[in-house]
Amino acid sequence: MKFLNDEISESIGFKEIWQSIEPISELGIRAKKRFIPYLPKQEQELKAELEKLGILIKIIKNNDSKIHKIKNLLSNVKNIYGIINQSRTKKTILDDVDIFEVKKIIIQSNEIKEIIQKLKLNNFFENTFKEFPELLSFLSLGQNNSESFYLSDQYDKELALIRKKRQKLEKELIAEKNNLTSEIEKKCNRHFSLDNEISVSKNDQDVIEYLKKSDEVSLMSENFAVLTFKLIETEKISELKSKITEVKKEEEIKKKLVRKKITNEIQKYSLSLLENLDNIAYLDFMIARAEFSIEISAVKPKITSEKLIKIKNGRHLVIENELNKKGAEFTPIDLELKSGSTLITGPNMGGKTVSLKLTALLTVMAQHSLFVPADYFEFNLRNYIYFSLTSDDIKSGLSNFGTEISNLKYVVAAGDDKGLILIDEIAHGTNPAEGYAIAYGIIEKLDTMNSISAITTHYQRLANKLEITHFQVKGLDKDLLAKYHNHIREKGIDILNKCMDYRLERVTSKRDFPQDAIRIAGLLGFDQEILETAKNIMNNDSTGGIENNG
Amino acid sequence: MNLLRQIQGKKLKSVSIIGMAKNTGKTVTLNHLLKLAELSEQSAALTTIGLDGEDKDKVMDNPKPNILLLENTIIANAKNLLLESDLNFEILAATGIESPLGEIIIARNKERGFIKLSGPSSKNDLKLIKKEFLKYNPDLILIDGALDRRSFSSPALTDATILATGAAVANNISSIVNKISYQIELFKIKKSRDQKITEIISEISQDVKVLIIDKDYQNKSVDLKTILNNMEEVINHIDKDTRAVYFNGALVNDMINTLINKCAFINQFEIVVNDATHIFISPMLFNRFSAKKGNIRVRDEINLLGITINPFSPNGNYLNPLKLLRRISDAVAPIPCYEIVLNKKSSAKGVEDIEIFK
Repeated sequence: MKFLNDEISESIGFKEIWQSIEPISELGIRAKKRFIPYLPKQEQELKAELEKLGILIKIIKNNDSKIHKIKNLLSNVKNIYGIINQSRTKKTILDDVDIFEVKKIIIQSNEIKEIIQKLKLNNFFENTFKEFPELLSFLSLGQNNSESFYLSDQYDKELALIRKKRQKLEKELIAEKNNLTSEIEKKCNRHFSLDNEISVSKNDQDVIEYLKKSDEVSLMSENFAVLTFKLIETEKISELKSKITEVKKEEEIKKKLVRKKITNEIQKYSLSLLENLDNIAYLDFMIARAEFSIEISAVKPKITSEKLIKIKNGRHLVIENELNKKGAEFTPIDLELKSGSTLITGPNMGGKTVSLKLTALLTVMAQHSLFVPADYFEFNLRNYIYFSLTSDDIKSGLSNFGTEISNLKYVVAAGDDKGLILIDEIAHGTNPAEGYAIAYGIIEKLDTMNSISAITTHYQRLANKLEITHFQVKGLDKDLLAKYHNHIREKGIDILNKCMDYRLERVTSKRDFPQDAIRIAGLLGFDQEILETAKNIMNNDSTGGIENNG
Repeated sequence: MNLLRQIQGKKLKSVSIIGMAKNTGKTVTLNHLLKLAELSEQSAALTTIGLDGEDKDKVMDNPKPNILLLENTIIANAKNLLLESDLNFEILAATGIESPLGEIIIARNKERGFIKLSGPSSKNDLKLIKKEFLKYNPDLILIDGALDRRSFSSPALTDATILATGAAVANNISSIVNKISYQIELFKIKKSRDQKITEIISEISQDVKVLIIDKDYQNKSVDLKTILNNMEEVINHIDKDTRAVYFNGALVNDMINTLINKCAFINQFEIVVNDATHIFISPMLFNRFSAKKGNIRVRDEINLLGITINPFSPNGNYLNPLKLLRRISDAVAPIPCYEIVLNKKSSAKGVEDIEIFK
């Protein structure tokens, strides 16, 4: 099974979290896109990675100005993998802008390296940052500006000669033209256009007279208001022009050869250049992760070889944000799951689903080499994360059940492959009697398998019948109930929500579950007679397993 | 006097050239300024605003005129145009700004020669380019734009503006003169006299499309995708306490029409737009609006340096150039008008030669 599919990623809130990690540079963004989560075999690598992240977080927290410098540098770094790889094909010739980009990345990575050394982060990188002094000076031949690039004469003696030849011809051409035009231009107080034309209004008769007499220009056109004269191209001018065209062709051919030479030179260093790009990308992505961890007050996950997931005061960031917007607070959750099945029960709106999502989210975050929002998080790497989507997007009873079963088919088949299997309201989409039976079967099977599974249910009886770990939502808090008692009938559900204790507690003795549904109905002022009947049934009926199924 | 001396006289650093329509001789004006700069040994940096949202073919179909670059001119140009030129360039920066003709590159040319130029197509990008230019400290920065809703011009980003116009804008001399003088009237629109309004508008986010400012300078933005089809929504937010309404975008006929017809308070508040190049209202409607005591203001005023006039129109019409120059000049006095091809300038002193040498 795939580690995490898109639907699950979105529904557990990871997609949103991942989106808020924003590397600065094109390279960092690329690294993020290509990131693959760590799997159980890479436990040691992930440990090392989280260790590095922790070091970086400390540095950033100390508000080291060097980090600001690095970020500034990163913001100008471009993704030039394409250019470097082009140089490696040996088929294409890099153009001047490409060569400029290569030179620039060398300068940038040298600056980054210098800061990395000062921060003593050298051992963060798989390959050390290279400096390329020879290549840099080669790309700076004959340049007056250290950061720009120009295909200067120094790259090739012949190029220099050709250019000298052209410049000489151009000078001659300009001199020849000036020779012809400067007197005319001064006399007429105007200059020739780019097409070597002069247009004169018929009002300027003296200028017209002068130009008509001149041997250097000829009348080209005339209308009711204007006469246009054109410079006569002398033999010398046309000769110079054609010579210049020839030399320019020669220059272009030569320039191409020089670019080829430079491309080959870059190619020699291409592997190390690519490694430097990888380093920069890695650094940028790691800074983004570190800053995110700081922002959400996250802790370093502890990796254990025991098959368990242990959360202390875990916060689901996405849900926390939504609650905060409404002015409410998220109640941090404690939970410990072990290999096999764990059952979570509790009243509606009691946060059962949230605890499943939280478990999935923290595990996924950790395997994406992120710190997690909790006071403590210990976990064992998983090969895949499964979260049933059924209660989130109920369509119709049958198709809902059908979808759930066909999904679970694969999950159970992969159940021995170190997964994290989270099933919300198991088998609730079908009739309660059969639903209970199927749920029983699934849970019992998963309990024997090599995955960590957590299942929420309204089938309270599952907990009594199965020999598995059982957590329940604490439910209505007695003290708070007493406090708000008088307001509940007037303000209803809102106040009731405030009285809910969303924390989970381990249930050890059987038949110890709160009959919150009946209590809630009572608090909301429901018919006393009905409630009495319900209570009696709850106390007497020990078969059927169809409790407060909602 | 010539355009460059006007620029130097006022110690201006950056100038935008705005074409009032196609074929108004923008490139002639640009080349003229570059020639003047060469004669007075001034270094220049220039770019031209590219068309936005056009695909590559369309841009290619629309051949760009050649511009004569002097040695050591700094340009911002699309990579494809830069590389297809046979001039030698020093690459100074690759901006990361994309255009249909490739990334916009800042380069310095090593020798005099012709090039086709196409630069950024958004205001923010242009701001970035201008910042890049300033690093190399040129004497003069030239930005070439158009008075066109598909493209934009940037008077606010430059110290002064030259308007390129001419026979292309209408069919006969009187309509041409009317159109130009109306455009100049718009260019003269001032900032709000109420400094606080300008301050508020200058500080708000560029994402705000419409902002309503009330008598206590409390302001609220109206959240709209487009203003055009939602003027009623805007009007609903206007009441007797409204002091100003800011539109971040083009002000067009339909908007003013709806205001005149449906808003009871139009004589009580100011409409503020970014600058006069965002106003696309017919003269008739503008007059109707003014008659109702409607008030339009700008955030950034335009410092109009001069007008260049091209007597050719693309349909083959050629108007008497000096007559056209005189008529326009009379209508827009005291703004100097130039006929560059004939080397004429018209001002209060009458028509005279442009001083090129001296």
